[in-house]
Amino acid sequence: MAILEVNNVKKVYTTRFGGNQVQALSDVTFSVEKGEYVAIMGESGSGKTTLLNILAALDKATAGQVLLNGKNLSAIRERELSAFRRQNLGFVFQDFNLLDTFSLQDNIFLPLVLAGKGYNEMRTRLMPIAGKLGINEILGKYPYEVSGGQKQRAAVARALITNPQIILADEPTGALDSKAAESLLSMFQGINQEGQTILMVTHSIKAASCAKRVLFIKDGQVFHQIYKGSSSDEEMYQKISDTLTVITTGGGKHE
Amino acid sequence: MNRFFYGRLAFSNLKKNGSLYLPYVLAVIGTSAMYYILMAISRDEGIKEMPGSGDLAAILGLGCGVIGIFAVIFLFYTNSFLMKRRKKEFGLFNILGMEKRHIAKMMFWEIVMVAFVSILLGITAGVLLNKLVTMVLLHLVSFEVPFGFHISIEAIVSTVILFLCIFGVTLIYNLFQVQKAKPIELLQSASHGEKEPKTRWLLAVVGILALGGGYAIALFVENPVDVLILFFVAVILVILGTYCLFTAGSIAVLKLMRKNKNYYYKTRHFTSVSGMIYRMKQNAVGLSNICILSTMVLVMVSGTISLYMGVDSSVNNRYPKEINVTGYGLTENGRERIKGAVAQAAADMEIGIENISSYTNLSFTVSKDGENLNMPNGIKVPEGEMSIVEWVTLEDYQRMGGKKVELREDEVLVYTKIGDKEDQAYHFLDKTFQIKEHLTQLYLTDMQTDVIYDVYFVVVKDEKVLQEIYELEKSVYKERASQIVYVTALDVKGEEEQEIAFGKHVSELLAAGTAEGEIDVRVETRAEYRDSFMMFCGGFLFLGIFLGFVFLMATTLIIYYKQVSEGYEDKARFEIMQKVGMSKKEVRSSIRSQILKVFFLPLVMACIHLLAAFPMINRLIFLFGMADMPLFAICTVGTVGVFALIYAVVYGITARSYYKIVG
Repeated sequence: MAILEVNNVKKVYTTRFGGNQVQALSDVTFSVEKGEYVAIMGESGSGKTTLLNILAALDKATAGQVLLNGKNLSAIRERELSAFRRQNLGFVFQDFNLLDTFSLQDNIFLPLVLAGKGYNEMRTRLMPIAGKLGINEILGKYPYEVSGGQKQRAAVARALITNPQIILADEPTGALDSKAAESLLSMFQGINQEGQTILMVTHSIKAASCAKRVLFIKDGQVFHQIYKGSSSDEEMYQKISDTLTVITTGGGKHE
Repeated sequence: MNRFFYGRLAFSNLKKNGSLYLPYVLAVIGTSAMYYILMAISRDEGIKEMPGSGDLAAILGLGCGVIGIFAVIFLFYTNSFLMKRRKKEFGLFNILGMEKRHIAKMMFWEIVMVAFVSILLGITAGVLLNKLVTMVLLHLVSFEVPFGFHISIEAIVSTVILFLCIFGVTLIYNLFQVQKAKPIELLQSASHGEKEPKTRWLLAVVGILALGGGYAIALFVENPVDVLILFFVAVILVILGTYCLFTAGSIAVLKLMRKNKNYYYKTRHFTSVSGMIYRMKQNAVGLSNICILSTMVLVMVSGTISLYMGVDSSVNNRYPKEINVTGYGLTENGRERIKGAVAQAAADMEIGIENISSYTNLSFTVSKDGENLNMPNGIKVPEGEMSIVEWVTLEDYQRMGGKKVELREDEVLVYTKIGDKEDQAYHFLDKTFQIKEHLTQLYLTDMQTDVIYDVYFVVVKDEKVLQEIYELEKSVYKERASQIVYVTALDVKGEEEQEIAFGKHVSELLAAGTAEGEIDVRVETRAEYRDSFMMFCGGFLFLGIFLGFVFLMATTLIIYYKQVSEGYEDKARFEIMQKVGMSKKEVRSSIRSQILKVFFLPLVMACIHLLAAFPMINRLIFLFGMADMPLFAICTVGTVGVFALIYAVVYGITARSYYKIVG
């Protein structure tokens, strides 16, 4: 059963001065099944971030609809929106978006505090997640005291702690060194194997090759998609790489 | 390059930073206008002609000094906010290829423009408001003199010089700041966070001790003269204590809040408490500044209002009767002349007189050490407590209604309100007086009983003894010795004008030389004293309210800048929180919780300071003859109420601009 359905989504930006219109997404349609791990790839300006913002209910589509568990995102009222996002979505960002004023533990607690949960419950929820992500030792530290990889793991913990329907990750390895990136990706795979649905937007072939399915976006449309199936990460890497070559060279040579 | 390039650049910079510069410019306008006004009034020819204006001019001159010093500190402090916010901009100019000397040129023009506009507007506002303020002042001191509209060149010159100096120093400081910074530091300086501060116990202890010391002085020092001396010590201790406590104490309190899991992990408190811990160091200084300024406003305004409201009771206390004629070292003849002059004045003016009473009295200061009455002579001050001894005769005492007793030459009766009541005898130089009785009531109601020192009324057998004591006093105090006085006090049936006229007439009658030569006599009327005292208290009230305004303006501006500069820092934080799932409503409520804490912590603290200072101020205004505690309490509560109201309005405005930045 599809947990997320994106039907004919279109997004047009109007520039601030004058009526210049820019079409970021022309017609995007795809769906994500429960337990899937999907990566969305595309060049800069292809509309990846716009799409993610619409999925995250941070932005509204100009036309078309997004259904999460059958519920239309654009039909949710403004004042319920925050609570809805808190309960159903988990976010991992490229630049972590951790708050300097909180210790890592408090950063992870933030969505639960907003949901009005008690301290003991938060603690019970945190323990297994922190163990899995290996951040037990550094929970009391502040973001400016730990490395980028550790920050991103804390951010993942923050996304997981609400038991979201789906995790939306925006270039999660973008600000990490290769070692930290690799460990984060294997963590994502581990989480996915436990049944967590993940949707990741990325630039990196390496990151995308860990996903079960990769969607390619070009000029505001889903251009192509490949399934990993039973192939290894390395084989997947090759497939993605080939596809990207086709996309960037316009596809003319191979047809 | 175009000659006007830097000027134009500076102008567009100021325009771009309008929301930062507007309050700053307003502050300069405000302080310069107030400085001009005070300066102009204290130099005003019309006021110089008013009776008793010497005190007023001195008070206003003091006010000028306070505002001048305050303007320097305050504008410098506000400037540092501006610089902090603009460093990034300067860094960008630097990186885009502007050399530091170019930036310096640009900054020079900026300051020139700000200075020109704000000083010009300030003096204009000052000139326009001068008339209004003068009228308020004259109303306060109950004096009516029609003044023409005029401009004080002297005040303008001194205002311009003072503020140009302030801007000059500011410019030098800013240039120095930019000069020593590296471009990359300039770029980043606004986003530097602080490390979480440690709880500093030593500082907390120092703070508690200083504050405790200040409070103890305020609460337990009873002698008004000591209060006057120790007042400033207490003020400094309290200021020091406030800074230490806010720095160390606030961190401790916030950490306690964070430790309380049930309190901390609530949406409203979660972000505000952590945000405050995060920049507690800079918060602490800002909060203490706000707290101290608020306390000053409250103390000044409530004290001067009470003094002003209590003028009548002070005057009645000082002069129980309307007309007071005091003769010095009189013979029997002199006394008869005074009696005669009073009777003749009443007859000449056809005014009824009543409550007439007269007594003979010798009064001087001693330093009382147990039963010894020592005479402080020259440099060496003997052991003991400074006290005043009022010697009166048994005859006068009994005439006023005192009980019938017989006294021997070495026996006395003693009355004291707050002094020692257990003494058996007084040893005065080589004489010893046995105390026959401690009286519980003194019938000499014309004599002032409420004064600063302990006062002992000593009733001696007769005038012969009084004369002996006078000789003894003279042997030590020499030409400084006080004389035996003969006081006649009475009320006249009539208005104030008649009262003053009557006093004048008596004075004239007594001044006219006669065959026996001149006598040394002074005539005082309550009405005249009231007028000059009113001048004094009105002047103080005026200054109190005036300075209150200045400090209030400063408080407002500090709060505003604090919130605005924090708003820019918080913007990013609230954006993240919204991404993670905080709704606009929750953002608002957590902002409210934070601003509430920041606002009302200093106000609460200021009220506590005021409460502790209450007894001390009460004793201080007692020095000026105001002894009406309930009145003072009412004035204080009223002042706090009005202040809190204004404070709440400021809160509303600040919170709005904060929302605008963050939301």
